[in-house]
Amino acid sequence: MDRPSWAPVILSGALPRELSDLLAMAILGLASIQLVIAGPVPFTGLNISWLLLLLVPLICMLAASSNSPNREREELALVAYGGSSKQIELRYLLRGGIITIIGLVPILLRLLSDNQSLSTNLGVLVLLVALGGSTYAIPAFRRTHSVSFVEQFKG
Amino acid sequence: MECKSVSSEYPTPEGSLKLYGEGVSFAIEEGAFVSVVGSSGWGKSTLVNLVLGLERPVRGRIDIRGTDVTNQSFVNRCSRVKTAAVFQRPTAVPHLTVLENLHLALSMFGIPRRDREERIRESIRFFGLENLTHSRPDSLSAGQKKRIDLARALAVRPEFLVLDEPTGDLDASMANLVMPLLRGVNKEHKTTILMTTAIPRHASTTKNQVHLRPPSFLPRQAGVLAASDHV
Repeated sequence: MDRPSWAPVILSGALPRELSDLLAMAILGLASIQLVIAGPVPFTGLNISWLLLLLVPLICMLAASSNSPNREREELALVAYGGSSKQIELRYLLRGGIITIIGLVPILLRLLSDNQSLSTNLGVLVLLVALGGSTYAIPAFRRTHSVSFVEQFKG
Repeated sequence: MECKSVSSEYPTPEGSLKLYGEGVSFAIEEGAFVSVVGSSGWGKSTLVNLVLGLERPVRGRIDIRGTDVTNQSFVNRCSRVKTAAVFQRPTAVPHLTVLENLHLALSMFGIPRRDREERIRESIRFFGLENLTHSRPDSLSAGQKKRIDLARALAVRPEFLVLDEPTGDLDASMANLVMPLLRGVNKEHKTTILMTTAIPRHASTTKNQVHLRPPSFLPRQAGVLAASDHV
């Protein structure tokens, strides 16, 4: 018997591909460049990274909330094909994380040039990526767990 | 698969709609072809969702191969019995082409690429979708979308096939082809099929039928608050 796999659902949607994703990466990228330019080393304390701690979840939530009707149709199709809401949430968690990592590339490059600051700021970076991923997955979580979701299968 | 006294309720502003009276009970033997017959609004699509695990019944239980799966999700039930579903409303990932949608659906069942291509080619040919393989679902008619759904579900070669009004949206000639095809799939591959229909002629071609009762309306009692009311 064929064995059902999580990979197609997750991999088919883990990479950023919508305009809203590109805009989110661009905004985070600009904010990262600003932080790199403004200070000698970013993440020297919460007085610098608080901006990213606020910006990352807000931008990711906004990007994930755009184009909701199309996303919902995609989610319905994935469920109809035999996927689960958990698989759908995981693909968005990964996508949000990837958007955050790409948006923070200027800061990562700056930190890589200074080995010591990368290790001391790793925790904040991981937190930001986790925050970006989880906030990106929230709209899909709300859609797939709403009572009206499966009602849409009915004509 | 066995439904034991399964019932469901729908809240409305004036009360609630009680589906299936005291509960619908039926058993489907492996390899059987069963149709669920009832008029529009009698809960055919709800029964499909209940059988698949997309909704939970208010009362009763659902067993698959002797195990209670009432509270199990569609995915968990799929891992127990390879199940494919065609819903009343066509479903496809909007940004993928027809071919990509079929590949995605089959890959989710872990079907190897070489097998996928063969099965998809066969399904596409049968449903006359050769010219639509590179089209996106949004550019297709309702009938074409339904054919894609049927092609996808049959290409999976499921053990259990659940179809919600499979001939809806299809023109008469295609609808006349689908029913013999389903009978053929049931006979040759021993696929268990549960199909809802409002067309008695289609239901009569299946050996076993489940006839639904009209829903009853339970008016909200004065002074009694429903669960959704805020105090």
